[in-house]
Amino acid sequence: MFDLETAIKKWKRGLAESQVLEDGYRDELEAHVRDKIADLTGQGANPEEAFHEAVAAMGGSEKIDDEFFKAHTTKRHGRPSWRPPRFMPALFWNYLKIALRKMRRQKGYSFINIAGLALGMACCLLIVFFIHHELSFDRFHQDADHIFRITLDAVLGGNPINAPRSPAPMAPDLVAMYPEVRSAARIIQQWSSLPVRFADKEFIQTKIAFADPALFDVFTFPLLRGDAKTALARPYTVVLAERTARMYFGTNNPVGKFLKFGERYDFEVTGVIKDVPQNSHLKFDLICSLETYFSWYPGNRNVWFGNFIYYTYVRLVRPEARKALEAKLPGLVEEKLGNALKALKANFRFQLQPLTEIHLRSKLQWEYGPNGDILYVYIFTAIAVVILAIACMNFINLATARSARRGREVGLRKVIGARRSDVIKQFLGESIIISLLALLAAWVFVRLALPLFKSLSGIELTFSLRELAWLVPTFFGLVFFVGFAAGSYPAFYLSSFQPVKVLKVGSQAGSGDARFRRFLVVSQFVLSVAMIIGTQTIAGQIRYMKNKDLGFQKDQVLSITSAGGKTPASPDLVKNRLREIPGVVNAAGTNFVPGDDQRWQSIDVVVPEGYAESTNLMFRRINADADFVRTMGMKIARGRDFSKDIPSDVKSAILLNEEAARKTGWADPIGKTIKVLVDKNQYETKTVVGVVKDFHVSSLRDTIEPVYLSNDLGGSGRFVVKLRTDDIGRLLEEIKKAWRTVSSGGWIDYFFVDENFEALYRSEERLNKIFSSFSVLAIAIACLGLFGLASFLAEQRKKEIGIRKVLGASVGAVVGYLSREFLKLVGLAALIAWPIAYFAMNIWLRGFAYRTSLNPWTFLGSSSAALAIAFLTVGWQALRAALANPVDSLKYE
Amino acid sequence: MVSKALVAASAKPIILSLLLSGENYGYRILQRVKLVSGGVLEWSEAMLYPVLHRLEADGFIRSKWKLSEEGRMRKYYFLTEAGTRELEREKVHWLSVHEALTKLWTPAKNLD
Repeated sequence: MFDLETAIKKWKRGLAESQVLEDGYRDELEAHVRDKIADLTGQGANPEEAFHEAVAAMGGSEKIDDEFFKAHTTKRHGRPSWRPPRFMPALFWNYLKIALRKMRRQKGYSFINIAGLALGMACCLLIVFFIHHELSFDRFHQDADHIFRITLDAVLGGNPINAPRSPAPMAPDLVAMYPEVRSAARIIQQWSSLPVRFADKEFIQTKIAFADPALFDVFTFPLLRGDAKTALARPYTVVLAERTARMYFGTNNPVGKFLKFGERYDFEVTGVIKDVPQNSHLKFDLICSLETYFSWYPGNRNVWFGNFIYYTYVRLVRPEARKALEAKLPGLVEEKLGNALKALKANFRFQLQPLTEIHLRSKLQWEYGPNGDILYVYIFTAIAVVILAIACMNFINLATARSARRGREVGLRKVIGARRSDVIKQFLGESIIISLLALLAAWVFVRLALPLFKSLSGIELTFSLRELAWLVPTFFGLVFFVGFAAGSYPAFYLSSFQPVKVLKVGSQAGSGDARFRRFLVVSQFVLSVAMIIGTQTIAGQIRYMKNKDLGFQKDQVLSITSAGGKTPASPDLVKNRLREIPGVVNAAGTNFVPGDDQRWQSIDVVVPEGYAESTNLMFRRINADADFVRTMGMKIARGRDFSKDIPSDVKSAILLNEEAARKTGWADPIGKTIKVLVDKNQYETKTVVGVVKDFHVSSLRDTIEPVYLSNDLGGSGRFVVKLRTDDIGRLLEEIKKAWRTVSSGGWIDYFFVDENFEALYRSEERLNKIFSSFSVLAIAIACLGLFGLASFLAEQRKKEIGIRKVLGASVGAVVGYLSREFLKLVGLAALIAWPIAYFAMNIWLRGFAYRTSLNPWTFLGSSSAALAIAFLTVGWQALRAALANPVDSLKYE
Repeated sequence: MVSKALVAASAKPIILSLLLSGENYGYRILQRVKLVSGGVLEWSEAMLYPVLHRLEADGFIRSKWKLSEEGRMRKYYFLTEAGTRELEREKVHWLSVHEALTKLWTPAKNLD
């Protein structure tokens, strides 16, 4: 219940704090307040409201003091004499001196503090560099926001297609028809790798593209030599990256020289560009003119339907024109593709994808190359925050635990006139100094960790002056952030000490808030344990993916293709020649091996027997000969394999995988026919002779799709060879020799299928490596803090331990007694970490169509590991304390 | 709003003028100032009392505690001889300022 009289009395007592108000003065103010209350209640306010309004109008004692001062001073900007000055330079030096002295006198503690923060900051910096790199992709082009890629969003035969590719006439038509488009360039990839030769220098080149001259108008790839307008205008011209030019020509001018591609084509060098930066999603070392490609396939130039192989990039006159242009594209589709789409009952839509979003946000089929993923940016941001948080908690923990040491100092400062805010400023300043030192140490760590960082992330960091523009603010931001995050709790805690209490003789004030400290230790270990479980789960999934039965034998299977030019005349000739080599078990012709980039795989519209032509089922196709299933170690589930003895097989036999057989819905597919669309309204009829057990062709992230094997090799010059040998190097030489004999001196491009397949998991492997490095660091930092805390507490309880020992406690009992509390905390942390890790890893695993289950042993194992590490950390301190001679700890100094 | 500097400068003559019509106490003075200025001058409580005390210390006003009709103690202020003289001087100063400004703001007689 509100009582006016007590309220007024209390308020009046509060005024006594004021430096200037004497008793009579306070009475006068009281009279004033009473007058006002009487007035306000007279106007209908209730007493409580009236009281609050009257008191609020009067203001606090500080305000009254200030007004009093103003009424009496002649200075315009003076400060009342009873107020301490805002800034005392003498004190600043004192703060600095004290901070440095404390650091010097408590070396171990300062080391743990600075090292912990430095490790955290180093991680954080590396992650910042990584994120900066990821976010910088494709932004080096001038007016990068004007540049867009044409993407296709289509439904064909019931299957969605999302691809960044367009037909050939898209680019010229866009420029001709729409004023919004300033220029458009097409890029295609034709060769995955090819030997390229100049005189006696030959290197296998893997980053070869074909492009329009407009490439240099759309993008910013500055030419060091040659003319941007004409460099790619003629067939058989090539522009080299600087480093490629250096490989072949040293410092000589390569323009006008000729390079031999795959022993077959001569390309004239017409220009040299600066090396494509690392942060470009388009990567090439050699750019051939697209005219070359059109000279091989002249019909391709104007075909709208078919041959969706062109990556088309447009540069708009201004970024806002995107919407207008996108709105016009359906009209273009209708005009150019309308009839074909109607016949296929397909739906095509073209869109504009901003260049700068490609690397992190584009997940289409047939991307130009592997992209990054915004998810990883988020994950790493989270890791950086977690590690920094763990490091800051260390600091908070140690600082509050040791606060007893500073209690007297705080008390004395306050007695001499320091206000709480002064003490807060002092301690915040100290933590900022420490975090500045930590930053210097972190920079050393970062420099040391750069090679490791490169091997984990594949990014080579360079620090040039240009980088300073963002590095310096980042550094200072980090120092102040860490300084405040780590320093503010200790500062507020220490500054709350009351001089009377801390200065009293024998006071034990300020050993810190033990509950808060426990909370911090638990949080640190929750995060660490969760990270360990995450690492283990990722590793488990990778193991699962590598060991899972894929439906074929991937070991010692070699894939061979002709490296440009000189394809052997007959596949059978090659196979027979290969089989003669000892160590070659089998050889087969095919156009596709599991693990291949599926962008090269054909998808056919099929009509199974008994279905209407409008069914629009789509099966992926593999062209393979009669040896393929055996060579790959696939299993026939029903029916039979292709047979060389049945000549009709080549023309009409097909095998389905189990998934395709299921899709048809037939009880027994053997002997049934399937019509395959080969041209507009033209079907070829094939007969199912067998069903192959499902086999994986891509990452276990994806489900197995319906696939059919056609016995028609379709002119493919590719082979798979099953080997059984201990000397792969020798066997490879034999195979190369054999190839040269059957192809009159040709080259091969080869790889092992298991490596090809495992390369699909490169991003998971990388995630695992990074995750495990960071979780090791996280637990290291957490243990560093635990170590400091344990040593401090053991020291604080030195006398207690001495007494216990005198009374007969054994060393083991003391160690157990000292470690028990910490182990309980870590155990609790593990329990809390379980559900967090469980949910997080469940979400991650859901990204895989085939996945391992979350193993309870992972959880138990990770937690035991954390417990063991924590016990080692704490136990050592405990043991030292327990072994100390009680005489030393109990005697008076 | 009247500027802070003007409020501070005018506080002294206004208080002295108010007290010319007889003794008064803080709360009433505050209300009177608000009333005569039509709400343009609104002093804060925290400002008024230090000024009153300053004037008292300078000898222009004096105060005494009195029992009001409501039965409460109030501190009343009244002018001293010195205060009346000070007010006369202030009046001359303020009027001359007022005159100067008025001349300047009257267009025809400008700058002769």
